[in-house]
Amino acid sequence: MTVKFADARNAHLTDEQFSDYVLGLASAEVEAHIAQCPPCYAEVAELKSSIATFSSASHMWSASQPAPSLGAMRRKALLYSMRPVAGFAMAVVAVISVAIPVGRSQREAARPAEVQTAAVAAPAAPQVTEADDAPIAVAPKPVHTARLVAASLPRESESVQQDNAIMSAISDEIASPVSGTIQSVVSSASGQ
Amino acid sequence: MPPAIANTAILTFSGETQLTTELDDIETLVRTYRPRILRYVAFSIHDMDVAESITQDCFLKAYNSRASFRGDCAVSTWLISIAANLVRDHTRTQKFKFWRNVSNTAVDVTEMAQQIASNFASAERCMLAKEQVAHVQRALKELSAKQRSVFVMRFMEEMNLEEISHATQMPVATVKTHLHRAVTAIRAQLKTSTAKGVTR
Repeated sequence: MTVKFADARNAHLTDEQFSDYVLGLASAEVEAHIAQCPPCYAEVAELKSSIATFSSASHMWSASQPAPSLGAMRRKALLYSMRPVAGFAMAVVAVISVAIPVGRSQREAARPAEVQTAAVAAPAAPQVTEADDAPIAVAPKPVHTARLVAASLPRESESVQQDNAIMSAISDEIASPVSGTIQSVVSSASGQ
Repeated sequence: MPPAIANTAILTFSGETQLTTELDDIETLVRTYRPRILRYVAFSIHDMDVAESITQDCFLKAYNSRASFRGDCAVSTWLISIAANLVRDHTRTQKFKFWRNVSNTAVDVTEMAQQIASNFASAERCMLAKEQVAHVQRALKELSAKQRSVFVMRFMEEMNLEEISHATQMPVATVKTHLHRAVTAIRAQLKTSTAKGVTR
């Protein structure tokens, strides 16, 4: 089985047949043709000679290259074998270097809120006397009310503010003088 | 035990013992196989500096993973398979810069060709050898990375198709296809160079 090439000088073998012969995979038919065909024989010989010369040159080149220091090679082999351990150690260092600053910032953020109170004075119960014109004892206004100083969360500060507002209102209410109508009601109730 | 079997057992045992010793001593490994691995890598990528680095990495990797060597192929084939993977990885990362950095660190064997020819003490043979080497080297540059790799394995390292298949993890048919294309390309290059009268 032959196929003509574009080049009429060598129109005897296909590229595959030619390559098979060079690779040592040719059929008996191909080998017989090459043995009997001077152009094919010459071309194959030139190709194989060129490749063989190149191969020999490359062998001489590689043999002439200076070998590395074998002691250095042994040390590199030892370091190369330690790469997984070194990598793990570096990963641990990286984690620690990140964890420490993060931990500090979290501790500062979670610092408990300072409770500023000198005294918590519960408003004293109003003292209603039986005397008509005895004024109702005014409960002393709390000097300090308990306050929570929110350190961080806005939600907590809002609720704290609300609580503070309520307590202030209660304190004011207690501190304000009772009206005459209320006073008479209280007096009549106590007289009964 | 029959003598034949005893001999085989002894030979096998000896072979395995030698194999184990070879891989366990990196100095012996390098001393024995470095020229071959360097040659394969250098002519696959045509960059001497990178070839030195990849060759070193190949031996370090082989020594570090010697326990995984199953002995189902020759040590040289196993080493070349490791080198082939490293060359492939390098080729992928250097895809379009592959030949642009060749100029300063390219492997030049034409001077070596002169040494070969000088062995025959013929000036004409000298010139012919240099031309042949230059033609093949020029043709190799035009091959794809895979074609060049299998060509070097077959014609410079004299590996058979099964060994090349094992080293490259390609089917034998695929290896054969790449080899056919490589030979055809080199054949065409030689024809062109001869027709143009191109010399070194």
